[in-house]
Amino acid sequence: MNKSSRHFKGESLCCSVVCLLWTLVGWLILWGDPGIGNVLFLLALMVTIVWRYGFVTRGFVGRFVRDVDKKAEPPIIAEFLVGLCAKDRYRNGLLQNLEDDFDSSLAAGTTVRRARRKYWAAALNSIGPQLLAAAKRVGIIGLIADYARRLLH
Amino acid sequence: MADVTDLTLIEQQTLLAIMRLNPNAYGVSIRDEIKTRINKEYSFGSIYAVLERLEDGGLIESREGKATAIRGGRKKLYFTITGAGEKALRASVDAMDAMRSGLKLGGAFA
Repeated sequence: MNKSSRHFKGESLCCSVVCLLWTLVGWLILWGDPGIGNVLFLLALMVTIVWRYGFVTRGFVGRFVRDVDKKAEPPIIAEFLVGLCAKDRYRNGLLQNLEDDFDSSLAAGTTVRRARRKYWAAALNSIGPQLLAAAKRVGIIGLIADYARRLLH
Repeated sequence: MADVTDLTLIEQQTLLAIMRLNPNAYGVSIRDEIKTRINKEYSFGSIYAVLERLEDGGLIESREGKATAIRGGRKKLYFTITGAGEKALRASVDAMDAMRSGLKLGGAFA
């Protein structure tokens, strides 16, 4: 397997399991027990969302499938938060940059604990401007300003 | 962008860093270049928010690099300045020069 690809060992199996799950969900909702169907629907939806953000391939499942040192990985929750706030187009680039910093810290002899803490700080610092940019994009700030103006008049 | 001279300071700095680093300008190198030159450290979030604005305005372009060999192998995003970007930067710097021309800047009220 090409190490540089984002795929991991057993990914096709995971993919098949998710497809099977969706098929089962459809069958249960339409013809079987709608209660179980709904539970499975939520489960399948969660797996798909996690998959969508690439954290299955890089995170949760990848960690179990690949033989890696768990502690020498960036904190997954911080990654998730950054990934959630970043725009699609820049998500991978931004996460890659944070990882670069994390690896540089480790290479410079920083302890894993300190490097992870630094990653958290950088991630939290990155979320604010990304959220602000997103708010500007959807015009939330304008709406709030309009609402405030209406209240004052 | 409303006017090409409307670039903010961080937008100017980012464009200049991209020009200096061409063709290897990506998040980390842009941040490091700004830090080395003016000793100001921006977060990646701030830099990417600026890059997004610049790219939306057609002042820079992005391209994906090769995936890294470690971990998930995410791709780096490289940025290059466009012709419109160079023109905007020129206009913005000229505007600043025009305002500064004839003034002797020193310490406080020197």
